[in-house]
Amino acid sequence: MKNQKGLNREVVIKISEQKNEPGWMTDFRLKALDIFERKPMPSWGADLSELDHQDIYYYIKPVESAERLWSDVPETIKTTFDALGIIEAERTLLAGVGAQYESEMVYKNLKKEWADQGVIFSDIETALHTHPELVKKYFSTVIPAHDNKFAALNSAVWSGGSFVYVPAQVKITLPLQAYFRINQAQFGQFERTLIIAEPGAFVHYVEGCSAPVYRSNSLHSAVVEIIAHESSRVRYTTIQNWSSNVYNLVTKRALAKKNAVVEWVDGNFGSKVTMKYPSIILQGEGAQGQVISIAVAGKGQVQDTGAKIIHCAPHTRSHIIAKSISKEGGIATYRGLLKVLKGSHNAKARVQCDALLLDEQSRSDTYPTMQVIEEKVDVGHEASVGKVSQEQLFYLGTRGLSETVAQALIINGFIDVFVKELPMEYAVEINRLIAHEMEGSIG
Amino acid sequence: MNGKMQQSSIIRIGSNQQQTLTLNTLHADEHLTVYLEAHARLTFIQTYEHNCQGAFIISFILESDAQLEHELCIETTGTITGNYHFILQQKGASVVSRARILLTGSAQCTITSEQSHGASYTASELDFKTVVQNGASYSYNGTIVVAQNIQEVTAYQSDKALLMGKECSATSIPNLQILSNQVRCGHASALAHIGEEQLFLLVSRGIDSSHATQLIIQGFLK
Repeated sequence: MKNQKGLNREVVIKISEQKNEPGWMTDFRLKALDIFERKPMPSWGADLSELDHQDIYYYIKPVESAERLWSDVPETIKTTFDALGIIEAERTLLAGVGAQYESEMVYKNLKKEWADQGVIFSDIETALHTHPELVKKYFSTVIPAHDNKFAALNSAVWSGGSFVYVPAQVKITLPLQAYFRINQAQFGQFERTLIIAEPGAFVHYVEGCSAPVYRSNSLHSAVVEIIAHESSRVRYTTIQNWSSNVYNLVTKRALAKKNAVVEWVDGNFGSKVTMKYPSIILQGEGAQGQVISIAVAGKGQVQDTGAKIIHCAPHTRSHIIAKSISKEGGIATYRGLLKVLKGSHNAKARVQCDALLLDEQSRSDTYPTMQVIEEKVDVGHEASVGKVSQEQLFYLGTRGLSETVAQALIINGFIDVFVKELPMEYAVEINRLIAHEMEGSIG
Repeated sequence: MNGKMQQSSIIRIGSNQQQTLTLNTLHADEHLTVYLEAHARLTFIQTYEHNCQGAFIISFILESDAQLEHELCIETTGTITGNYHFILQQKGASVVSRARILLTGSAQCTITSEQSHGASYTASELDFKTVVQNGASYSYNGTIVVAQNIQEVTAYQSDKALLMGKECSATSIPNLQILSNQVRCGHASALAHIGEEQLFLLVSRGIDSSHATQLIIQGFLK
């Protein structure tokens, strides 16, 4: 079979065969394909009319995944690498022109330490062969294939992604980074990530990076599932900076059992269109959920992001902080759902959305929904939209800062709550990225 | 002037005029359009009591420097659907809207509102408070729209609901659609119940619990 565009049963079977998958997974993929074909495109959110599902490669033979040349990488991406101070080896990886990363050795030592404690951290294809019972038990239990059209698409053609299993009471002190794990497969187009934290476990998983990831493929549709068992804590940090031709349509959901804590830290800088609403189902008593996100919508970009939290048990707590910046005609939208179901007494929830508009052409929308079917609750929402104030700029100007520097400084302050949640090296990069993005964008 | 409106009516407040209108009967389906010409000032009061029910759609269209002060009071066990459209179409127009709603038993109340800012130097402020008691349900959907290329707009929206007793539910959907950056917009919404601590404090001061509850509700609605 030659590489061909488009999606049909043959392609799906081919993907499954190539990965030497068990029969249940092939069946699962084929069922998902049926669902994908039946489901209509979403009637809400960003405009996806230009997305042609038959114009995408869903299967590429490994030998034919040709490397690109450095000269093929767009100039804008190269200058961003310079501004962020990304090292040479990393650049080639990020740009998709090379596949080696020097930190591999450091990472191998860490991996051994974790493995000794029973932690499983591998790509999901490997896990399907080495730990089939675990994968089968949890796979698609949080996000079923019929959840939405793009979850169905991912279920049919998924490839790559991580599998993380943390045994009871094991606490992984250093963040696990997908970054290190992915070398040859690189950043998957339809990756599938599954994280399981047993009772009392802790893990911080980090994916993506602040440097632009150049992709010639136009669709990225991932699924991330997290199962946080009793009293465990899972933190998932994503920073995406896809190149500006990518539709980034991602489904992320976590299940938090009794007294578990789940945190999504989500930064969206790149892509043409992003639709991403990390969700948490607070299923057990005392469970807690937090979503901290930031979206920067620049020229031609639509960042339709938000969060979804469902309180299903008493004494559950949630907190959503969403920040967005729109510039040069970009559209940033917060779309959220907060639901408190019957019986979730003493639930507490806070939603805070702040938007910054940097010029006249940009747009900011906020669509939060709150539904409460329980009287003993405390739910609050606040949103604000504004611009960088002239007084603040003037004040910094009098201290000798140029307008660009002053504006970047104010914006760094605006997103501080997000940056503080990141590992150090990411925080530094994000600050540089903001400064770089703001060059020449004074409103 | 005190006016009484019929279904599908149009009211026009002339330039530089100052008027007060009150509305206290509710029809099954009432449509009302109110024009406020330049520099007009209108106080518009809607009071619905005694378990009345029905539906209304009211559009306020404000020309330059017109001022609208709107008040809505509802106390019902029936079904009420209200739809407001505040259109600030010329420079300097301003709207202040306050709603106090008490829903009990089988009451169902659905309110939608849209604050459309189509001109510079316009201001709108919505402040809705609802007490939802014993099986009642309340739903609010409010939108602030600020058109492109306009300046110095302030728009706020606040929707707060106090949930009391069993089987009551509330939904709040405050939306913002902002296409201009010279603005200050915000919304806040809260759905909460009477805290045990608040009640305990009042009861410990010798106030019986039903009186204490009334006091807290009064405080909330102020």
